[in-house]
Amino acid sequence: MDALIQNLGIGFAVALTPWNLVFALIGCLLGTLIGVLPGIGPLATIAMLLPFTFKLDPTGALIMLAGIYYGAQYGGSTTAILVNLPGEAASVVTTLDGYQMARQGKAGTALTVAAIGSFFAGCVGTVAIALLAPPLVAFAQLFGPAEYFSLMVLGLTAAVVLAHGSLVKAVAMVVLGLLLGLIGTDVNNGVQRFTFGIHELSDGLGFVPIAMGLFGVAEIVMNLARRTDTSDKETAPVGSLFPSREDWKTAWGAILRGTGFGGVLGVLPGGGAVLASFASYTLEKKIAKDPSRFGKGAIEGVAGPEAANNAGAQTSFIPMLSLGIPSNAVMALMIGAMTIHGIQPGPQVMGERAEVFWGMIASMWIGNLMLVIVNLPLVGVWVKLLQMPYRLLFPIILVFCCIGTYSVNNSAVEVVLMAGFGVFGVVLLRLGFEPAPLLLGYVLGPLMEENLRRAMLIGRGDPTVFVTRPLSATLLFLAAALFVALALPALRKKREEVFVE
Amino acid sequence: MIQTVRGRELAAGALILAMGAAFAWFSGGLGLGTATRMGSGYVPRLLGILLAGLGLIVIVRAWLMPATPLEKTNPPWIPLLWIAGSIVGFAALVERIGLFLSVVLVVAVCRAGAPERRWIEILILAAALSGFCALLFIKGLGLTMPLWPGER
Repeated sequence: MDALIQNLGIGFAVALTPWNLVFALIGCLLGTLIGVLPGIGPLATIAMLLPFTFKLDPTGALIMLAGIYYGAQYGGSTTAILVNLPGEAASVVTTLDGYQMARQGKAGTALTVAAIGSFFAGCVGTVAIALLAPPLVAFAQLFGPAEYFSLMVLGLTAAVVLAHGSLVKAVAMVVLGLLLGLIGTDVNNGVQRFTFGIHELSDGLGFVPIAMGLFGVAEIVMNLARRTDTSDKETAPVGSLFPSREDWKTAWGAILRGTGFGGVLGVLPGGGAVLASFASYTLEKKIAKDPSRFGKGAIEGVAGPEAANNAGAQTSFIPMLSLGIPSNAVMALMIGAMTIHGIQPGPQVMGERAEVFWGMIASMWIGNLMLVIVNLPLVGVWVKLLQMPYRLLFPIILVFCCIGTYSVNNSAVEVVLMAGFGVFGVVLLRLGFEPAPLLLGYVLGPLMEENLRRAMLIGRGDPTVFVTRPLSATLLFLAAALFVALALPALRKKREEVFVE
Repeated sequence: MIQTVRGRELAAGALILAMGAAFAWFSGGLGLGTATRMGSGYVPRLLGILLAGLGLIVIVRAWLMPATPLEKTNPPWIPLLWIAGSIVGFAALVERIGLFLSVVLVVAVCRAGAPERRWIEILILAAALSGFCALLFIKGLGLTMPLWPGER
């Protein structure tokens, strides 16, 4: 307990410096600003805003990125409630009852409950990270290359679980990502792999062009093809921001339960936040006295999933910070950002860069607080933004993507790469592939190869090394069990139902 | 154009089969090594074969499917052309004509991908955005890129 307080003390000392507070605030505001735009999820938002952090020191940059992430999530909920357009899978659930509340003139109540539920979940999540990360880091010291490899297999398997559509195609995206991650110079012997003499590729395919191409550019094109102009969509009036006593009474329990769900499921690799918000909604509907209210503006249907979503978003930082393994595509982006700032994510970060590690954790809590006290009063501004026609919006987004990608290495080649990945992303979407697992594979590719090589070298070329070491065997067994369970027809059907909804 | 789910799946399978095969093929020249001492081509060859195998599975499954028609959606190719074109144009010209004009170029070209033609609106948007980007990125964030033609 003393160690916890001391560590959080270090963190708050870092996070509460005026500049870092400013970065957190800017991050939250920018994140909300972009995240509130319909059709732009947290992933695209972070990819787009990444270049804004390049000039900062690593701590400030990560604090700002974390702020952007929360802001984007909050912005996504706002859009879900006000115009019935979810920016990402996790806020799909919020649209069910949130938009109905908005149509009844209770949008303000829904927004406040969502924000406060998220804040409460964020507080719990922050404490959970501070409590769980050190033991996990200690645990990670037991890991050899074989265990790391198996852990990554487990993580990628779980990522496949939550992808939409065909299982085989999701696995294919992961494998393609792994391959794309291997492009560039082989660190072991300097061999150029798949660079075809293009000098700019010798450092590997850039992370930013891939992320912006697949999630920014492709998204814009798909939106244009769909011709969904938000200006045609009716925006519900906000109404009073203050929930009634009655509303509080009903919402409170849902927030508590949602936080529990999210906190536990978020740690699991593969993006537990989505699962948590679905699970929370289902539970609230089950235990409600009158389940028929759900889908017609039940406040628990907003409070529970929103809390679950945010708690999950928070605890998904745990595997990333303590093991260096991303649990979802957003965390893969965070790892990419850390690498750009010269921090190799992994168990060593907590010891060697204590100020970065604890500062980021403390700033998560501050970011959550800012969302409540700064963003909520600004809701009128966000609504105005929502009404901006897409034909004005997308050129702005596109210009930011271009300048952002160019500024990473002052490289025009990377901008062309972004266009290329934009085209590739559209082709993938047209062919029914989901690109998120690709990004996860891309980040893990070099790590996985390195650990595979080391494990095989230690095991003298005997592949059984992965199953004779108990820890590694356990992890692989879990991955196999997960995969088999998914392939079973009964569960497959259930999974499809969840995504159809 | 692809009109059935089956056709789409066949194309999807063919795409990953081809990509897997390409990676596996080009891995050969990188030095495969042995399982104990893996060369640069070992893991890519393995993954390439795996990807090609997944492609085959998708193709075989598509083959067994009934030809249900695909839900009709607008083809994205024309917006894609304009958007990708505007980005490539930016990349090709930004170091020569500077940030201001290349932002104007991106706005003008990418708007061709949207149905509305409102020239005055596009002009105002381009000018305002260029000015804003110049202030934010060059004066504010200090990015090193030319603002006007011939500055480099």
